[in-house]
Amino acid sequence: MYLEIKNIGKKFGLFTALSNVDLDIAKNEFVSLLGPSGSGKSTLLRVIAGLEQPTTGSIVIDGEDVTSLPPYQRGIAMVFQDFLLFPHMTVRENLLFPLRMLKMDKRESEERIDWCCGILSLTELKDRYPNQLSGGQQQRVALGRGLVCRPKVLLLDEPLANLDRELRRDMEVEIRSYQIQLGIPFIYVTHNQEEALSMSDKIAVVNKGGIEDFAEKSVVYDKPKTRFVAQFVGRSNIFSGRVSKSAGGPATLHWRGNHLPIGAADGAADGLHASAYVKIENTHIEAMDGTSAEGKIRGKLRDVIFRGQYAEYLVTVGEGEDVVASSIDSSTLVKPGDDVLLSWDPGKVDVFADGAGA
Amino acid sequence: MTKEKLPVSRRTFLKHTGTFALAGAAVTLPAPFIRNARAATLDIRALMWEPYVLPDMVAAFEAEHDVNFTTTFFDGNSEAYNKLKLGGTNDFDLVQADGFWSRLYYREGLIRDIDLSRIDSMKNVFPTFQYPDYQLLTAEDGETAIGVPFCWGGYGITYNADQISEDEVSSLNVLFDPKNGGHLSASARFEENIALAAILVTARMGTQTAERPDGKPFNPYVLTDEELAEVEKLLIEQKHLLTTRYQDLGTLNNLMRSGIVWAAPEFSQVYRQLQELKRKGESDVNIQHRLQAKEGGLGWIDSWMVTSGVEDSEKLEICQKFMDTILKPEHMKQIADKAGTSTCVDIRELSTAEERELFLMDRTEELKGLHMFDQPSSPEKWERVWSNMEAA
Amino acid sequence: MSGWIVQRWLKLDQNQRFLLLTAPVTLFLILFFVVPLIAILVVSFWRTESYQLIVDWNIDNYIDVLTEPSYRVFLLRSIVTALIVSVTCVALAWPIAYFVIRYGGRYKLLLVLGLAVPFLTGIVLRVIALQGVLGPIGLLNLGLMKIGIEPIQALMYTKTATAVGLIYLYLPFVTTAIYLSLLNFNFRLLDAAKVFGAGNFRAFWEITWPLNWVGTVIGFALTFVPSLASAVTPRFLGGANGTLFGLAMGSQFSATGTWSLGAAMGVVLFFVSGITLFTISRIVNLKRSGFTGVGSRD
Repeated sequence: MYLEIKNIGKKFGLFTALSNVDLDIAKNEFVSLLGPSGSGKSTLLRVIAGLEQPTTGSIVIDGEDVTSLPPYQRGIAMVFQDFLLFPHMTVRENLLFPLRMLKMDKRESEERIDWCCGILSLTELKDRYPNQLSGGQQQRVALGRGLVCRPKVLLLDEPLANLDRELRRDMEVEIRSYQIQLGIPFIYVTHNQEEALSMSDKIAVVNKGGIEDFAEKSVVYDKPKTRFVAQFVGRSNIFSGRVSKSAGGPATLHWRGNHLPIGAADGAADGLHASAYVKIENTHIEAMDGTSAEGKIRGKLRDVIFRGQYAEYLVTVGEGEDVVASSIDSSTLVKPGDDVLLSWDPGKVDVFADGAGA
Repeated sequence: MTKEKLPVSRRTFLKHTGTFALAGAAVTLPAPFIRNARAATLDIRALMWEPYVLPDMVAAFEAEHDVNFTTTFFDGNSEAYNKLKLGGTNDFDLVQADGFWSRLYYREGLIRDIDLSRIDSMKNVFPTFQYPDYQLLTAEDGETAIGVPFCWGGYGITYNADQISEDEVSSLNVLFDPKNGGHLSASARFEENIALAAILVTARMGTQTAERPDGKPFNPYVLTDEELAEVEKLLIEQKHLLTTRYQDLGTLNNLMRSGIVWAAPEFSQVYRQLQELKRKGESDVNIQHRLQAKEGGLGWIDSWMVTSGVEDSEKLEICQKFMDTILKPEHMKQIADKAGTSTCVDIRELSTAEERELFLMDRTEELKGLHMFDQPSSPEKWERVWSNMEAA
Repeated sequence: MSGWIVQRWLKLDQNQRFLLLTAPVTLFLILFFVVPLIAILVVSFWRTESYQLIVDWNIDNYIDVLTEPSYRVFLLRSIVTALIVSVTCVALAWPIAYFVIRYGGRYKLLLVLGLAVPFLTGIVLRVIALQGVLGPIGLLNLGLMKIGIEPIQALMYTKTATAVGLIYLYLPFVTTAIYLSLLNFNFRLLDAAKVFGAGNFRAFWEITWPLNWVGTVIGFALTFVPSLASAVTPRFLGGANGTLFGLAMGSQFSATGTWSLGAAMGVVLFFVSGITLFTISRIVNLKRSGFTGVGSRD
C-alpha cells in the first residue's frame, strides 16, 4: 500500500490517545477520519504528519518508513483548521514558503505558484496579506500551500469547520476535484459525517483512540460494523428487545408487544437482548387504513418537518416516545393526529447484541 | 478631511506623540521651576544641610517661641544659591552656606545684616572664627555682621599609615604619585578637585607666592588660564591612578578599610569612622588624617544667615534667637555627634580626650592657613577642564 | 443635565469627539512635556556666567557640544555603551521570555511578575546594591579571593561594570516586552512551518523572530534610550574613566552650574534618541509584523 499505518499507539502521560491503529491507504484514495471530538482523530493526523511521535507502531509512506523522520522530511503537507497562514507574508510568499524550504529554483517556483493561484482563483489576491482576506479566501490559500509542493500525502485537519454552510458545500466539491486531479491520498479529519460522506472514498470511524470501522463509505453507511458506527453515521431509530430466532426463518424482536422483523440478525442470538438500528430514510410510514398491522408499529403522527427534498414524520409510539420516519409513498396522505403504521425492509436493519451493561 | 482618512491620521498622530513621549521620558531634562512665594508670620523656614537637623532642639524652640519651624535641604552651595536667586528669599528665612559664599549672597542682596549683640552664644565661638581673624562673615566694609560661624572642617588627606609615610603625606604630591597607582581615590566634586590640584600646581610653578594678577593673596579658586591648563594635565595624569571617584562616604570607607585605597582627600568623616572601628577592634587598618600639606590645603566654615526676605524686626529677632540657641555648646555637641563635623563653638568641656583629638578641637589654629571653599573664578572654564579630564 | 451632555455629544462629528476625548492627554503632554522642553530649548541658546543665566542669544553651546572633543567622547561612549547594553539585553531576554512562555505553565504570570521585584526599590538603591556585588570588596570578588582566585579587575569601576549595571537595570523591560509579544504569538504556526519543510532553527528564524520583531524592537528601544541618557549607573559603577554623556550633562545642572551648556547637551541627546526611535520606526513594517487590522479590506 502507498501509505501504511501500522499498530500506532500514542500516550500522553497516563492518557491513551491512540491504540492499535492500523490503516492501509492506496495512492489515489480520499480517506476521512470521522469521529467525535476527543476521539483521537486529530492526534492520528499529527502522528502521520510527524508533529507527534507515536509511542508504538510505524508509518510507511511510498515504501519508506518515516516514523523517526521529522515532519519536513516526510514529503507530506497539511491544511489546518484555523488555516495557520503566516501573517507576515503575502499570499504569494505563503505559497512560496514550502518551495523555498525545498530549495526549488525560481522559475519553477513561479510556475508552481501560478498554477496554484490559477486553480484556486487566487491570482488577484497574490499580494494581499492573510488578514486582508475573507475566510474562504484564506481557506483557499491554506489549501494552495498544501498543494503547491506536490506532497506525497495531503493531510487536512477539519479545514472547513470555520466556514459557513454555503461555502462549505462549494469547497467540498473543489477539494474532491483537486484530489482526483493530483492522484495523491488526502486524509481528511472531520466530525461532520456529511462532509465525510460527500467527499471520501473510504471512511475510518475513530472512537476512543481506536478505529471502529474502515471501509468504503457506502459500506460504512449501510453496513455499520459496530454499534458505535451505527449510532454515529446516519440517523437511526433504535429498538431494543429480546430476539426470537427460529431455525431457517427470519428473526424477530419483541418490542412493546410487537414482533418486529429484523432480518437475519447475525449479530444476535435467540432469546437474548439486542438493539435494532433502522435508519430514518428506511423507516416507512403509511396510513392505518385497514391493511394488516402484522410486524408493524402503530403510532400517532405528531408532527411533520419539511427538509426540502424530504420530510421527517415524528410518530409517537407507546408512552410519548418518538420514532422518526422519512420514507413514504407519494400517494399517501397523512396529517398530524392521524393513526399511522411504521415498517421497514428487514434486510436494512442492523442488529447488535446488548452487552451485559446495556 | 474625509471620514475614511481619519483613522490613518489618528494613528499617525498617536504614533508620533508616542515617539516623542518615549524620547522625552528617557531624557528627563530637569526644568527650572518657579514656586509661588508667600510669607507667613510665624513660620520660620530654613534652607539647610540635612545632617544638621536636631529634632528635639527644634521642637523645644518651636514651643518656647510659638513658631513653626520648617526645613528644606540642599547638597551643594551652588544649589542653595540658585534656589535663592529664583525668588527663594521670600521662601526662606534662614539659610546656610560655606566660606566665601556668604559675602556673595550679601553682595547680591540675598541675605541681610544681623546684630551679633543679640546672640549671646557668640562668646563660645573660638576666636579663630571671629572677626578679625575670620572675615568672611562680615561684609566687605569690615563692620556689618552677615552671619554666624557654625561648623568647620578641612579637605585634608586621609591615608593608610601602613602604606604611606608621614613624610610622603606632607606633600599633596602623594595624591598624584604613580607609585600609588591603583591605590588612590578622590571625590567627585569638581571644584575641590581642581582647587586642590591648583595648590600643588601653583606651588610647582612658583606662582602661588608670586604676585597674583588680581593683586589679592593667592586663592586656589582664582586661577590663570596657564595654571588651569597645568591643572588639567595633572588631573588627567591622576585619573589613571584612581581606583574610582567616591560618590558617597560608604564607598570610600569600604575602599580604605579593605586596604585597596591608601590615600584620598576628604572631609575627615571616614577618618573618624575608621578610627572608631579600630578603637572597637573591628578594623586593624591604621588610618590617619593630614589636615594640611606643605603646599597648602582647603578648608571650610559653614554658617547661618538671615535672608533679605526677613524685613520685620519680630521675625529677625526670632531668627537671631534660633542662631543663639543652636550655637549653645550642648546643641553643638549633638551636632558634632550626629554630623561628625568639628564645631566652631568650643565644646571641649563636654568632650572626651579622644573626641578632642578626633574632632581636631585643639587644632583650630591650623584653619588659618587653609584656603576657604569658594566659588570658581569661571565655572565655565573649570567645567571645560573637568570635562576634558573625564573624556581623556 | 446629563441628558443635555449626551445630546451635545451625539451632535458632534467624529473629529470633534476625537478632539474632545484627547484634550486632557494633550493638555497634560503640553503642560508637563512640551513646555519644559521649550524651556530647555530656549535656555540652550543663552549662556551662563558664574551661575548667572544671561539672555544673550547665541549658538556657542551647540558649537561646544559638537566640536569639543570631550563631549564627543562622552556621546560616543554613551552610544557604544547603549548599543552593547541593548543588544545584550535582547540576547538574554529572548531565551528567558521564551522559556517562561513555553515551560512556565500556570506559573507564567508569577515568573514574569518576579521580573518586576527589583523595581520595588529605587534605581539608586539597585545600583548601589550592584556595587556591593561587583565592587572591589563586593560579593563576587570577595568570593573569588576566598577560593584563591584573583579578583576580576574588569568589574571594578570600569565601563564594563557600567554596562553590567545597565543590563541588570533594563533586562526586565526587554524581557517583559518580548514576553508580551510571545504571549500573543500563535506557536502553532511553527507546526505549519515544520510541516512545510522548516527545521527548528529555520522555523524560528522565518516565523517566530519576524512575528515578534516589534516586541523585540520595543524592548531594544526601552533599553537603548535610557541607557543613552544614563547618569546614575556610570556615576556609581563607571569609575574615573567611565563618564557618560548623561552623567556629564547632569553635572552641568548640579555641580558646575553651566545650565545653558547642559541644556544644549540635553537637546543634542534628545535628537540622538529621536533619530534612533525614528530609524527604529522605519525598520518596523507593521504589515510584516503580523498585526491584524492593519490595512483595509477593500
